[in-house]
Amino acid sequence: MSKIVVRDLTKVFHRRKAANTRALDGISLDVADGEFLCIVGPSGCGKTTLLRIMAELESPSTGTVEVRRTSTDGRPLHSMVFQEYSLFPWLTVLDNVAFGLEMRGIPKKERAERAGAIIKMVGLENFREHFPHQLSGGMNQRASLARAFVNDPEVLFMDEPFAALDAQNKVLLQEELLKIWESNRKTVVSITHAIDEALLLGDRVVIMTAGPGRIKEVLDVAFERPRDVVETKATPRFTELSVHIWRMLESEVRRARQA
Amino acid sequence: MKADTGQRGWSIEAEERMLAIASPVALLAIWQVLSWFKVLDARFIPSPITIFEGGIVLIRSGELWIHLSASLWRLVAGFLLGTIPGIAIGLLMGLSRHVRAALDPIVNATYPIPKIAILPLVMLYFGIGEASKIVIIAIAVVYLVLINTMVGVMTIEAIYFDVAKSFNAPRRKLFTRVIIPGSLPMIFAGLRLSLGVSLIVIVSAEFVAAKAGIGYLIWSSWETLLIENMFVGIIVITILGVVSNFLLKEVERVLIPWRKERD
Repeated sequence: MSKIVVRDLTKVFHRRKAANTRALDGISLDVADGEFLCIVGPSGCGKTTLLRIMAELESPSTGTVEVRRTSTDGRPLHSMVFQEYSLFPWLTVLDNVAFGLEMRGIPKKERAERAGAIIKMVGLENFREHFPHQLSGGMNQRASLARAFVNDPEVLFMDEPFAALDAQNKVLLQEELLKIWESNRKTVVSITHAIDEALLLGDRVVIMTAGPGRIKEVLDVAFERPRDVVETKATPRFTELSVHIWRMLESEVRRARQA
Repeated sequence: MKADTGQRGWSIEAEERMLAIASPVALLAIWQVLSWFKVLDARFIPSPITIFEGGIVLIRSGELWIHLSASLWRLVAGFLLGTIPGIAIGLLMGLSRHVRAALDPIVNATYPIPKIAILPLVMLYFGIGEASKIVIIAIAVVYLVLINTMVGVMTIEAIYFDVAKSFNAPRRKLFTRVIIPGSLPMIFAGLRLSLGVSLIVIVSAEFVAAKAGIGYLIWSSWETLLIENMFVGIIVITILGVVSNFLLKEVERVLIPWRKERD
């Protein structure tokens, strides 16, 4: 069953002194319930815009997005993991992670319990009372993931969640994410420009064209789960798929450079 | 390796503190010595000891306290009267494009007017009593807090509003959890500027229109050529500035615990 239905979506940015930019053109997409969908595309292809429209942070110019609610227990429909530093600098790790719960009016004690549990899961239990600037980039991003997960949304949107991390921390965090995801199987839509990340995490990978963003191909990944980050990367199929995606993207990147 | 120690093996911090104390003390000593050897003319530049004795006389007679308390009361009242509306209007201007469009030209046009220039008008409207002194301080500081608060709100990074929106923050929570803490460092920058300006304005105002106050003490000492009392007044103002700045920094430390410590 489709959890998210996107139909004929376009987005045109109107600028005061420059020509209008068509960021997205005729996007139609179905995301199944419990699916991990990754979207890759060259920078400037509108993938972040697509995600922001799905997450209701922006509205489409034409077309529709529907995120279908399936629960009745008052869980939020969706939460977002933002790029890089999105933790509030003025809140401690605990208050940051519990932010969504606080916004929903959940009492302080319950907030601390639920946020505390997930903080432990991402290995930050010794940093609950620290402020974000006292932590490394990787720890910040772990707290951002925790903030979205503790909210227990039906759908999780992720905007290049690992882009700012060094290679080793990226692998560790990807493993942690897979572990958490495999234990609860939420619907996830994650965008990235890293091909290997899309292949590692996704059930399907959507490849987008450069401006205006259109869907070029949707690829079934079908590695078995639970996945091991390092071992999955070592399989011949992984290499084959990465080369395939790179060939698809390469022409787009070249086109974007000439534009 | 002694990475964190200075030349004499003290910590760099202790060394800096020593220097901070030693240099003014050395300056006073040189001044005193120059006075002793009559290099400085005592009629125009009294020695530190003479100034100190003058201060003791003023304290014993209770006169200094009368001036100090008069100035302090005006400062506190004027500061509050200016900063509270300043923060409120600044928040509104930062948050609402319409309020900003309406008020920005007025603020821009009137901000550069030297506030002491409108003291006669203020006295005309508020009398020559306490009210006019308090109002002139309020007028001088309201701009600084208002502009800083507005900029503080407007420079909160867009991503924090996105985060709040994506977690469905209610308006009240958006205000208390994002907008207020996000603009607090700039609000405090405005408050710190206001402290300095309110000292300048109160002394100037008391020069021309007061029967008590540190400014009055300095001005009346000039009229009677009690030079050491002029110095006492200046020193009291200096101490007021240092102490109030220190207090504000302490408040800031408590209210903005997330601020990165800098050297």
